[in-house]
Amino acid sequence: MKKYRNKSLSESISTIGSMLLFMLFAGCTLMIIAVAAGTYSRISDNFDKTFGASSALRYISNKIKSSEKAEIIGSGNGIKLESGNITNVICFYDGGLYENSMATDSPNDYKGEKIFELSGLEIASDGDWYKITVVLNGEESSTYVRRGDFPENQT
Amino acid sequence: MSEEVISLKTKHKGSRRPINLFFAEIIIALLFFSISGAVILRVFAAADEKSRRSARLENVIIYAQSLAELYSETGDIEKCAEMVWDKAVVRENTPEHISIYLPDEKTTFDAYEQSEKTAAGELSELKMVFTAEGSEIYTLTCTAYISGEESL
Repeated sequence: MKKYRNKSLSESISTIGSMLLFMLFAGCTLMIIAVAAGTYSRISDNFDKTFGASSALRYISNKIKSSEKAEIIGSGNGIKLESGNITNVICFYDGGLYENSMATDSPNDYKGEKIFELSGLEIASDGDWYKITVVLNGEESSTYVRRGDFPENQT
Repeated sequence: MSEEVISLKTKHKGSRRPINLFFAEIIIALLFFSISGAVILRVFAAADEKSRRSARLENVIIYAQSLAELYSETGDIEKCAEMVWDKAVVRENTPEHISIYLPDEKTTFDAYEQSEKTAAGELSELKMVFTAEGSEIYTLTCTAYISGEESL
């Protein structure tokens, strides 16, 4: 009887031990996953914030540089660019940057394709430059682009 | 009586063995998790730091490009810096060297200017150096030519 009780106690301790070991394993795994998730989300947010804004800035500035004629539209939340017989309208609308390419002689009201997720866009004329400001997740990034030498821009 | 004590001692010795094994197993598991945790946390910290550095470099490149664009037209780095950073703190300002603390307060901007005046105009070369945590993170050189009529 005593022998049986001791064996039972030993088995119980072994079972509890195994469970404790499993719980330790599960706890450590969960902790590492939580830390990893936090780090990943921070890196991802940082990446989106930085590279999203800079990509949008570079895209708009390169478009302006390569165009023959530029005109700020709306209240500065868009720009109309003409090169040859193609007109590009880049504008901020409903949380995104949209671009519409169309033939200059056949304008349309189509807002275009969404190319970037943004929180805001402002294009202002500042002397000989355009100041482009992009807002993404509450952070502003700005750049200056020289206005073209076309006669419409000489003020 | 004595036989009973001996038998109990023997049984007790026998039951201690799995407990010792269990503790050894727990210690090995803890050791394994501690080492793995330390390695993983170090990797995460390194990844986080690299992400911050790349974000900082990206911002600095945008600043440098804007400054180069402005400088190539004006040839006046002080004016360009004022346009790009409204709230920057100027550390040093001499005709050849301007040093500025960027708004993030961790990066410094140094501009070294060399000008050559001729009858035709002024040719200036500007070397922009961005420094963070004691090391150079980005360098860009640009030039500006202001013709004689404009520079007068």
